[in-house]
Amino acid sequence: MDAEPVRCASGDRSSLGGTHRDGRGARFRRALVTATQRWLAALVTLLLLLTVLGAALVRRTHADRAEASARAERYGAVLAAADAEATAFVNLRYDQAARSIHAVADGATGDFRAHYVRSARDLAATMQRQRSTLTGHVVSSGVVDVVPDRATVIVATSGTVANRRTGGQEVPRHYRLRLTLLREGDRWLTSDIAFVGDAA
Amino acid sequence: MTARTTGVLAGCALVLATVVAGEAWYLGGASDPTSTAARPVVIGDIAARSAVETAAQDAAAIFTVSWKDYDAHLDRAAGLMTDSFAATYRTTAAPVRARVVSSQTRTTTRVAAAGVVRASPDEVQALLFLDQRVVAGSGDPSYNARRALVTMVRTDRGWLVGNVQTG
Repeated sequence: MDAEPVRCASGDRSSLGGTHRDGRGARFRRALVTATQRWLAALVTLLLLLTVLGAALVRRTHADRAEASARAERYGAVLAAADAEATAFVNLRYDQAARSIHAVADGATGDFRAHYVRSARDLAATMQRQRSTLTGHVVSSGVVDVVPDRATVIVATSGTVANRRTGGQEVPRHYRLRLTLLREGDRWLTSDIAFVGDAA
Repeated sequence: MTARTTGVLAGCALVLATVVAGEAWYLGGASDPTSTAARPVVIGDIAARSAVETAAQDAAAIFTVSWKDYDAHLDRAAGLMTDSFAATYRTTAAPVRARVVSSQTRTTTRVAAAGVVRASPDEVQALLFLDQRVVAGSGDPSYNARRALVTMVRTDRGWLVGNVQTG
C-alpha cells in the first residue's frame, strides 16, 4: 500500500521522510533569492543615484572644460593677431610702401584703420622722402586682459631703422607697444596701437 | 519569474556600474593642461592675473636698488626668488656691487605695463615693461624703458621668481 502523500507546512507535496527537509531547502532558497533581490534592488537604487549625480557632474565639468578650452584658445588667437599686427607695424619699407601700409591696414579696424588708410598717401610720401626702412620682429607679447570680444596686449619688438637722418645706417630700435583688439567675426583686429614710454 | 527578476536586477546593476565607472573616468581623467603656442594660458584669468601682479611687484622690488643698502637689498630680493634663481642672482649681482656703491647709484623701477605670455598651473611667464629712473651720485637722473620676461614658479611658499630675462 502506497503511503499517503503528506503536505508540509509550505504546502509542498513530498513522500514521507524527505518532505520537511525539502521544504526547509525550498524556504531557504526562496529566502536567499529574496535577500539577493533586495540587495540587488538596493544596489541598483544606489547606482541609479550615483549615475544621476555623476551625469550632473559630467555635464558641469564638460561645460567648464569647454569654457576653459575656449578661453585658452582665445589667448592664443589674441596673441597671434597682436604679433602679426605689431610685426606689420614695425616693418615699413619706403620701396614697398603700399604693401607695408596694406599689411597694417589688413589687421586693423575702426578709427585706427580709417586713419591709417586715410594717411597712407602722406605716409608713403614721407617714407619715400626719408628713404625710411623700419624692420623688426616681436620679441615677446603678453595679454593684459581679454574678454570674449575685446583684448589688450603688450608687445615688445626689436629691430632697426634706417633713413636719411641715420645716414642710411641701420640703428637699433626697440619698441614697447600696447594694442587694443576687437573681435570681428572670427578675426581679432587691432583698433589702436600706442607706444608705452619711449623707445629704449 | 524569480530567477528572471534577479537576472534583470543584476543586469541593471551591471549596466549602471559601467555608466558610473565611465563617469568617474571622465571626471577624474583630465590631467594638468599644458601650455602651447595655440593655447598659451591654460589656467583661469584670475589665477593668471594674480601671478602676473606678483611678478610685477617682485620685479619692481628686485630692480629698485640703492647703493646705501645694496647687501640688504640682495637679501630681500633673493627672498622673492626660487633657491636656484636666487643663487644665480647673487652670483651676477655681486660683481656689480662695487660699481653701484662707488658711483652711489640709486635705481627706481616702476612697472608701466604687464601681461601674461603663457601660464600653466605651476608656471607663469609675464612680460613687463619697466620704467627706470637712475641717479648716480648728485648727477641728473637718466630714464630707461626696459622690458623683462619674468618666469614665476608656484611653490609651497607661493609664486616665486624663477627666472628674469631683461632687454
